[in-house]
Order: sequence, then C-alpha cells, then structure tokens
Amino acid sequence: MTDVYALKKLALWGRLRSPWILHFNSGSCNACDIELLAAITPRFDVERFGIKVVPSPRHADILVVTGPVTRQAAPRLKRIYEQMPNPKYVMALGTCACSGGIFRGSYAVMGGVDKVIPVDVYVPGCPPRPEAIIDGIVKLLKKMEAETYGK
Amino acid sequence: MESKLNEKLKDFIIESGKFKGGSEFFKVDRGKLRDVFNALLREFKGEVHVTTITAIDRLDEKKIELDYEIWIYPIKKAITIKVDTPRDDPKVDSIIDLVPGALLYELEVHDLFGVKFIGNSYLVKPFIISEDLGSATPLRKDWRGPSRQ
Amino acid sequence: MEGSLTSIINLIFGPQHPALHEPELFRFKVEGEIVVKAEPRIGYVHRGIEKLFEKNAYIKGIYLSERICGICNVAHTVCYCQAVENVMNIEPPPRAKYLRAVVHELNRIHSHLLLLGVAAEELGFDTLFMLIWRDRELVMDLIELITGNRVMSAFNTIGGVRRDVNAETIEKVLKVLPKLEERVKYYRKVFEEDPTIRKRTVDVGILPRRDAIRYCVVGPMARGSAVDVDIRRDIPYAAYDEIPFNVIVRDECDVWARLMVRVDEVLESINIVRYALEHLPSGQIRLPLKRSAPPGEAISRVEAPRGELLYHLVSKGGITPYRLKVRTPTLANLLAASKLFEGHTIADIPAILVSIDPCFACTDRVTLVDVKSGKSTKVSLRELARRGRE
Repeated sequence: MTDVYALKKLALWGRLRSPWILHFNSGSCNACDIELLAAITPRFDVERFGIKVVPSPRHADILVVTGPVTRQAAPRLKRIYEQMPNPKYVMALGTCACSGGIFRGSYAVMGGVDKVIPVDVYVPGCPPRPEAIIDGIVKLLKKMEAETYGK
Repeated sequence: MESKLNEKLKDFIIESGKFKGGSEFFKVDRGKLRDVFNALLREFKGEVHVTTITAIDRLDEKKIELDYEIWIYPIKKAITIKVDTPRDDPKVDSIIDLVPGALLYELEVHDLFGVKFIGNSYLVKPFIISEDLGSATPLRKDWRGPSRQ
Repeated sequence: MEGSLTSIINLIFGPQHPALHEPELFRFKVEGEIVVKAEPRIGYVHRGIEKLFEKNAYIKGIYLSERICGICNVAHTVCYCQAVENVMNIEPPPRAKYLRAVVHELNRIHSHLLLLGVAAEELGFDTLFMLIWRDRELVMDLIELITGNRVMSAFNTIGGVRRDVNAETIEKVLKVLPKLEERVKYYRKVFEEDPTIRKRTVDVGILPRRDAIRYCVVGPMARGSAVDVDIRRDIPYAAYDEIPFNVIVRDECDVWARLMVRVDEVLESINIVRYALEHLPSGQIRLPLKRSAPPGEAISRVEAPRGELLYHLVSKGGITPYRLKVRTPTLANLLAASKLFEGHTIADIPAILVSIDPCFACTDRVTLVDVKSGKSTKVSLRELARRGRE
C-alpha cells in the first residue's frame, strides 16, 4: 500500500509541479483568452508554477474553458473532455464560462461550461485579470492536492 | 461625380431620404436591384464596396426590408439602397456575380431571416447558426427559440 | 509532390494553439503540399447578439456591444454609441470626442501589437513575441489608467464618455508614449529588414488591388493592397476631423505589406494620442443620460483595428432598439482571405492566416487526414512553417 501511496504522491507532485493545461475557446469574445495568454507572458509568468500549455487533450490535466459555450461549440467541448485522461479537472474561466454571462438567455448559447461538462473551479470576471486567473489555478492545484490525499 | 450618381439612379429611385446622422438612402423596386448595381459599377469603374446587407423584419408591414450598405470609393460616399420583399415569400436577385464580396452577407441574411437570393448557388442552411437549429430563422420577430437557461 | 499518388487531403484546423485558442476558421483541401481550396467556417462564435440587443435597453447595449470582440471592444462601443446618439439627435461634447479618440487609438495600438506578437510567434520568433507582448502591457497600463480597466471598461456611454482625465494622468501618458514609440520603431526595423521574416512574408499571400475591392476587403488588409480607405479620414467621427494623421497605404499587396501597415499604424496612433491629449478641449465629458430614443434609423461606421465596423440601428421609439445590425471587419475579410491560400504551400498557411488578423482565430494544430489510407496525423502550424523553410 505504501508503494502505491508513494507513487500517487509522486504522480501528484509531478502533476502539481507542472500541471498541463489545455485551453479551449467555446465561443468567447477573446478577452478572457488574451488575459490567460498575458498570464503566461513575462510580467505575470505562471511558468514559475511549472504550468505548461499543451495542444492536445490527451496530455492535459486541466481543461481551461472560456466562452458561454455556443451551441456549435458544445459537441466539440464534450469530445475534448472525453479525450482527456483521468484524473482531469476543468476550470470555467470568465463570467461567460461560469454562467453564460451577458449572453445568458440567447438562443445560440448553452449558458456556461457546467451545462455541458463538470466544472471544478469557477473564475468569474469579465474578463478576470491575470492575477485572478493565477489565483484560480492555485486554488485548483490545492483542490487537486486535497482530493488526492483525501483531506 | 456626385451629381452623376443621382442622375444615374434617377430612373430607379422610388423614394430617397437621409438617416439620422446624415447618410443617404434610396428605395428601389427589388426588380431593379441589379440594374442599380450595374449602373453604379459602370459609372464608378467597379470601385463599389458593399459593407453589408442589413435585413430588417418589419412584421407589421408584412415585409422584410433589405438595406444594401454601400461605399463608393471614387467619390468617397456612403449610401444605402433599400429594397422590400414580402415577408411570406422573401426573394431577391443575388448580386454576387457583380460584387463577389456580397457573398457572405447574402448567406447570413438567408440563414437568419430565410430570404432567398436567386442565382446564389452557395446558399446553405445552417450557415452561422448551429446544426441543431438548422432550419430556424432566429432573427425574425415571430421566431420562438429553445427555452431559456 | 506524390506524383501519380495525388490524394485530396483535408487539413482541418482545430482549436489548439497552446496560447491562443480560437475555433476552427478554415477547412483546407490539399493536393500534396499545395492548398487547393480553403473553405471559411464560421458560426462557432455565434452568440445571437443581434437578437439580444432587441431585448435590452440602450444603456445595457453598451455592455453587449463591448463583448462582441474583446480585443477591439472600444471600437464597438464608439460605433454603438454614435448610432444611438444619431437616432437620439444628441452630440457628445468636444472633450468627450477627444477622449473617445484617445482610447480608440490606445485600443488600436494594443490590438496591432497583439497581432504583431502573434505573427512573430507563428513565424518562429518566440523572443520577439514575448518582447512585443511585454511592451503591449505598457499600453494595457495606459488603458487602465484612463478607463479604469485593462480590457472591458465601458468607457464610452451614450452622450459622451464616463471618466475624465486630469493633468496628472495626461502627464503620465505623455511620459510613456516616447518609450513605446522607441520600442515600436525597433520592431518596425525587425519586421522590415529581418531576412527570415521577409522570406516568409514577401510575395506571399498576394491580394491584388482589384480583388481587394471586388471582395470588399477592409482595414489593414485593404490598405496593404493599395486601397486608400480609412473611415477616420473618409467619414470623420469623434475628433478625427480635428486631429492630423496619415493613412498608411502600401502597394506590395503581400503578407509583409499587411504587417508593415499595422506597424506604421501603431506609430501614427501614438501621434494621435499625443496630439489629442495636448489639445484636449475643456468642458463636459458627457450629456445627461437619455434612456429612450425617438423613432428613426441611423448608420454608424468606425475604423476598428481590423477595419470598417458598421452598426445600423432601427428605432421605433422606446428604450430598446427594434433592430441593431452589426457587421464586424473580420467577416468582411474572410472571403478574400480564403482565396489567398489557394495555390500556396501548406507551409505558407501560418503567415497568411496571421496577416489576416482574424480576431477570432489563430489556430495552431492541423489534422491531416489521408483520404486513401484513412490515417490521421497531427501537425503543428510551427512544424508546417518549419517544413517550408527547409
């Protein structure tokens, strides 16, 4: 049992040391996306957490979704989520991703990421500042840690 | 050049006026739409820009109005050509062979309002709206969509 | 090329740039290494905004229009407010018009720098991308200083602007501008002279002037193809009738020209901001709020960073619009853009894509499906670009 525990811890720290993020735009206006991008540029620099942005769902731990999930994007979002290996975590980035935001009620949107896939962390803001995004990521890392150790 | 514009369009204009803010519009019969464009393209040597086609569902007047928003390069002038189509059978000639750049606007109006552009073989539904709403015409005033979240 | 084994391969651009995720923009049909056809695919970002406008009061429409495009959000609010002001028969005070121009230009600078950074990255210059985006942060700071927020600020309102600037703010901005100008002049030199950049962009993606006009192209894409048009000069709005500036037009018609137009527009915008702040009229920044509009119609056009933006407002009286049509510049350029790829190699796709500055795309990964074998492989844009250089 201790071996399994040690492996789990190693895997977790491996994951926590360098969480691999897949970013998905579900019909966002781009404001959240560029603030996310700004978070990884020199001034904000999330790379100090070992965060890496990856192009494929098969390599990702965390799926970061922006946008209110348009009806066209919904099937694709589901598919990408399904392609991610377990354990996987989802962050709804921005007010649109949290609830549909200003587009809630429109015929063309689902109204938030959790209408389509389960969400672990909600980062509201329109758009959230890079600092808030980083804060959201840290909270998610803590949640991941807590879940692994059953705290 | 500008007086030539009024002269050239004189035969086609049913009504003319100005929007709030000053830009001019000309109402023409939908059968004359291509004539108007041909006249403009000839006069201004092809340097005619179509900004968009604005469709307006005038429910109580039972018509769908199409506003062709135009910019004429040589005289640096913006005008709008208004055309009415009956709401229950909205059809108008396509202009994409005259101004290829109008293609996406015709496709958009077709998708959102159900207007047919005769001669446009690229018309497809859905174009912008999602597959599951395929045959819907969401921007019509009497359209009721999926239930609210 | 495969010789006798030509298969039509679908290049499917999916949402996957590690940094910038945009939905699919084009479906490419390829024979060997040559692009045969590029079909524009839109609708991914369709949120039903025009219908939403009809249900919301004019004052709320500002927040809606801002979120049509997060990058050029200021252009949208300028255009929207102007359309509403026209229908309401009101005109913002002179100080408001100057402040509108200032923030409109800062928005243009940040948008162009964003694109230039992304272009640098797609062309393989990671460091240049980081440098440009670091300097873009200077602009974001100025925008926050003046409007109160980095991105969405609803700075423009019906009848004027919502925040004023004091002497201290003006001084701060004027201090930063020369620094920014110096950096951009350096970037200009790089884009103009670097042999690798030139190799990937000069004579690539040529859009002849006649086609630019026939396809109703707008913005830097038009001006890079010798089409002399700029709404700020041709249908002056805000304070542009009183502020001297140059319209940048180039006749090379290639990717390089479209990038250079944007670089030079940043330099012009810096001058406009400086002039506007130095000549800021005194007085009110807004009129008392009018909630309801009389019946009427108005059209408003502005020069957004990506080109001509149009709002057509129909009012039947009351506090909500009867109809509000928005035509974004990216849609205008999409058709011509899809033609640009034809005849080019797959390796040219990244450069051409970026020169369009699509406002909703900069996809990075490509799925190659070999129709004959049914095998699918994933290739990154970077790799495609690298293949072209060999």
